[in-house]
Amino acid sequence: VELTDHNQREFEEIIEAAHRISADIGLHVEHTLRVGLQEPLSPEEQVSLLDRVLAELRAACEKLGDQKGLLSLAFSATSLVEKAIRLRMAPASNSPGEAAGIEFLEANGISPQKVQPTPIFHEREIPMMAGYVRLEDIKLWPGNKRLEIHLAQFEQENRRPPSQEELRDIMTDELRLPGLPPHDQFKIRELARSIANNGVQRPPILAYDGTLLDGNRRVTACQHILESPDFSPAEKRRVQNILVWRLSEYAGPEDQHAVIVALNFEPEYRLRWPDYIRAREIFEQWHALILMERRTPSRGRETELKKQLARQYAISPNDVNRYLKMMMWAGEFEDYLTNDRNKNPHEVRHVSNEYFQYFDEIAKGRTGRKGRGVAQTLDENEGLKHLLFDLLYEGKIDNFTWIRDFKYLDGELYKNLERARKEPDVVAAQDLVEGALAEAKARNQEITHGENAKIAGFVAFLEKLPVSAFRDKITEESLNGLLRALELVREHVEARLKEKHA
Amino acid sequence: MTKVLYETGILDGLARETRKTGLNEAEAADVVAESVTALYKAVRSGKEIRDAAAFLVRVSYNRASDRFRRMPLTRPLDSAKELVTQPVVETITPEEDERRRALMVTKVRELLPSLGPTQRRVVAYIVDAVEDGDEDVPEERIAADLGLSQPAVHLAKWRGLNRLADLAREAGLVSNHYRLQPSKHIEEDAAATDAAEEIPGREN
Repeated sequence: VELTDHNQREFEEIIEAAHRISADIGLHVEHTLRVGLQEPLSPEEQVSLLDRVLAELRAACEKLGDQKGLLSLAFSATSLVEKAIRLRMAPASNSPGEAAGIEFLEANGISPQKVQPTPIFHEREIPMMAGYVRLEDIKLWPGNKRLEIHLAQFEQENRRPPSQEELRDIMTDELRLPGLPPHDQFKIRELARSIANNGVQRPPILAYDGTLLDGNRRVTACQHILESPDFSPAEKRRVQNILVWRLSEYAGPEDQHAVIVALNFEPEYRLRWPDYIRAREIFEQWHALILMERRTPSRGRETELKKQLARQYAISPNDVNRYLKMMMWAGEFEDYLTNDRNKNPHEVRHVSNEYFQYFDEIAKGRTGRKGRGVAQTLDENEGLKHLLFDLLYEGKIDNFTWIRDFKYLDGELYKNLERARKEPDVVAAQDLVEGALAEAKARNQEITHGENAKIAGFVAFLEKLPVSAFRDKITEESLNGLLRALELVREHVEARLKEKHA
Repeated sequence: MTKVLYETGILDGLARETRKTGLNEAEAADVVAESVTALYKAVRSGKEIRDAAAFLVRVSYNRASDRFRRMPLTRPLDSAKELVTQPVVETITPEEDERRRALMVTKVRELLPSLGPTQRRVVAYIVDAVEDGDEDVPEERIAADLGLSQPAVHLAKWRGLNRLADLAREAGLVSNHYRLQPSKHIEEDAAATDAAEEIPGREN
């Protein structure tokens, strides 16, 4: 061996590597964690680092063919970077610390007191204090998952988080964000009228530091009552101070989680988080669980994990399954429109939210238990899938039941749907889609059920066929086929006719 | 996974610490990204990761060192009147690098019989891991796999690698001034272990 400098360096490096990879680094780990918390990177550095990490992970997932991982990254990448910006750039007014000073008042003869018996949320006893607070002291909670898309969109456009007033305007629909459906999404005006009539029926719940865990809509509705000329002075006076429940200083994140789960996942007659938001939460938790597994979980283990998730969120394992499937399709939908069609991701997510139930319909029929399903048809035809996504995004699928008929795909249907995609008028396009699907369904039924019509047509065709055609036009192969078919059916036909005339 | 890592602040810490080794911001970000990806691959391949933070610290340190090793040497131009440095590009192809490493691993193995039995087992285990590209070989794992106590592994490794460096120096396989440099806490640990008399597997 030639003992060059290079070889010497290589030998030294092997010894160094052997030392490094097995070094006792307990103190170094602690130090690194401490540095991370005490000297966080600047927001720009954070975003740049996260971008780099996610890009590297995405490349690894692609190389390993890890579709689930890729999908999970597609969902987490934007929200993670946005979260980094939000957390690091949020003004002090949004930090829990400032809200820590929220004070109880004596009002309506009620002084602050323990809530008794201790309330239970999601099987957990959570001690709370009840009392009145000034409405103006309550800060809306930007961390509310219900507002996640809206906040991210606002921040992308304005490069800052919304103020409390802007947050309220978003909730009352006075601040319109592109892609939002044209109606009062949070139904604040209806709720305000109800509160003006009946008062706040259930106290909003605050964390000890004043974070509004439950009741963003109620508090916004009360603020709306105070500012709107539609309410009387007496009605306004009634909402100046409102009764709230506040968690104790000993409550931990698990308690807050229990409150959120109980009030947003447990069945109840209130406007819960939209299915899309709930499904996103489940989907993210599912991937976190999968990533914590030491090896790819078996089918049995997956079922166990789904049951665990179902318990955690007070839903059934079937709902977990359904949400996961729907999110897979929503993910494909968002991925296609964002990357291939260059649509704004937030606008796309609003549409996902609005049409989320449609993904349930799309997800059906992959197993083929009742024949070929929509999911299977779309899986096998990328073009049709993208066509459906475009139509959905443009509001040209007016009814989720239409999705079911996409399984009757044939050339004619594809052509007609293409026409609908190009049609600029949404209502006209909806008519085209409906007609195209109805025709495709009829054609399919004709193929599978129209025996008599077909035989009649064939008989008429044969009877009209000139004899010379058998000599000049019809190939030997066709002649053989015809003869074979006629011989095959002859026996059945004669037996059946004999039976009928007997 | 990334979300959890981000929220613990470990990514910030890794980036800061990696920069202290002399890498610039972009290079440090690359190292952090590679380390997180290595963690993902390790988890996916079913490798047992007892401490994700320790894994990341170890791998990022390893990757940062590796980057240094592969950096082209720089030297001042003789003819330059100003203090200008010009890279002397040493183009080492990955194949050449791999061939050279394989050759030197063979040389390391040839020296192993000169170590004591426990040192030999421990160092051979680690050299195998280096060869396999394993970047996270905690002493607990070595101890469990070889049926030794962790202090015994700790001591045998430190002494074995030092002995290996001495032997390599004598054979001219490393430069005359090469010494294995432990981090401060490792030295302290070794000193503390030296002070203990009854260490299972202790040899020298």
